[in-house]
Amino acid sequence: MHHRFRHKRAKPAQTPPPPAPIETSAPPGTPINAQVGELNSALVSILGKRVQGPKGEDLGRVVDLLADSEGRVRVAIIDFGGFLGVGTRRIAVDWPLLHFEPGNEDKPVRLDVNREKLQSAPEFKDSRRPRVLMPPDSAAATAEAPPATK
Amino acid sequence: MRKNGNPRSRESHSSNAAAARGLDWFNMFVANIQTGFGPFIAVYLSGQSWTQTAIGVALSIGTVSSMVSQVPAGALVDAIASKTRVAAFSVLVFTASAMMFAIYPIPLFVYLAEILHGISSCTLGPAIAAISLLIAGRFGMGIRLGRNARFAAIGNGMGAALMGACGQYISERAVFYLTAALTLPALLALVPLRHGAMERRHAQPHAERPGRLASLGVLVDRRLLLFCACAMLFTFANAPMLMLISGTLTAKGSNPSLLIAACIVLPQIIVALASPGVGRVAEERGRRLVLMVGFLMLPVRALFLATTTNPWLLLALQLLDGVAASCFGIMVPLIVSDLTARSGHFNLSLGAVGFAIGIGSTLSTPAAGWLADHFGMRLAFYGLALMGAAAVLLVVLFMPETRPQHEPQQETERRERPASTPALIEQPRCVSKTGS
Repeated sequence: MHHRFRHKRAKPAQTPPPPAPIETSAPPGTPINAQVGELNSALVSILGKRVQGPKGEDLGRVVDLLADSEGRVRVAIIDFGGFLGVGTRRIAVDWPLLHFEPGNEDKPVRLDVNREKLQSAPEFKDSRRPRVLMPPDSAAATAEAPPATK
Repeated sequence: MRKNGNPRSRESHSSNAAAARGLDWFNMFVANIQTGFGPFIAVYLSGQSWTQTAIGVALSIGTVSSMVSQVPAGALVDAIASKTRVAAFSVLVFTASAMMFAIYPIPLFVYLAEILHGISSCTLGPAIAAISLLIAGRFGMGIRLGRNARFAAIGNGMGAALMGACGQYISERAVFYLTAALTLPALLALVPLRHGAMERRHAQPHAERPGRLASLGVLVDRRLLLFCACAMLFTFANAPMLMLISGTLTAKGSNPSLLIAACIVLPQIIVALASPGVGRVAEERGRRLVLMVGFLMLPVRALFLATTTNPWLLLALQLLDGVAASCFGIMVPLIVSDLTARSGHFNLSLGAVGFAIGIGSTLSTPAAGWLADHFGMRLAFYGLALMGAAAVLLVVLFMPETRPQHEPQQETERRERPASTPALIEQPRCVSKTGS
């Protein structure tokens, strides 16, 4: 199987995974004393964001985000193709494959995958364990050791 | 109820011609507008950061409200004397819905817009059919509906092209502004339908206004129920095909969006070309023939689709869809008018058929999707072929000819009645009472 990923960067996990929800010693369901503060980084809205390929081609838009049982975002669902809403196809994409341009709110998310690759990826069907388009190295890793669930 | 004098004056003739042209344009613009309310809404709302669940809810609200209002809306249109006013009002509601989508796509407005659009679609369809009946009369109805279908198909095709371009090059929001803007020419097209020949005949479909019990009787007419079943099966087999095809195209084609657009527009071109002929054949050779030909396209198309994933072949098979769509689109209002035009419950009955069609399309898309997911595309198409074949059998074995027996009457001054033809198929079981 040949991978035609345009994987320019040597360091694969560019986007650090978001921290898991804080652990509290209190029993679940107890309200904590939450405070209002300010985050030190600018944020972007993800749902509905357009996705662009490496050559700037339109690859659809992000329509959903899936998190694992620890609350980490693992997968973005990209709605792709179609005409006037007919024949669109939803594809699950590994979160680290998406690249964001900090400070530019309107800029589409970049996905360094060519169109054909995205087209031929299996359609996402609301599954708990979807088949995901992922970088070649992590695809190999998960194939060896599927992550334990529950 | 007015009964005016001689409607055959030259003035009335020209106003009738103007009314006919107005109806042509109206059909076209309404089809234009309806494109904006199609599946594109899901695309637009995802762009507005709507979640998939919320979009599903919004679309379901639309489906449910149109299903629920089919029959009551039909009854309402029956009860209102001026069908033109119903049509105009429905279009104004479209304007409001489109503006709600465009200006403020928050859940409240989107849900409201979906409900309003669902209901007014249900009043608009019957109103157009009723206006057609008023303009053409019972014996010119087939020809008239052929014309309606032609102009609606032109509108559909143009709408898809226009709105596809609008969404691509301007913005997705702009599609809804365009939709709202297109309601204006639709309203203008109604102007010649406002008075003149139209008004004089308003009383006609209400000639005999039976009581409430009798109106239930219309709905249990065996032929109408049979036709409802045929229509439901047809839609069940037909509705998911484009979805399945376009799924394949998105996965395989080199330019899927363009191919899908072609798959949408090509049948419309066929409908535009074929419909007048189909309407004429229905008048000359009877409804059963047209119904059988149109229905036969379904299993044939599904069987072919099961055997190929070649994009160009898929596109070519859309030609059959055009033929089927043309036959079905004309036969629904025509057969209903055959059965019930005299009863004063034309629109109620049309609503009942609309309800059956709604059930068919609502059930079939998930069913076909499920089949495709679990057993593969081929089996899904075989399933649809089976349903299509069942629809054909139902027509062949049970559906009677409904073409009214013609007795020369002063039904209408623009009688485009063909030379009398012997009943080709079987002796019409429906010999409508043509007294007026």
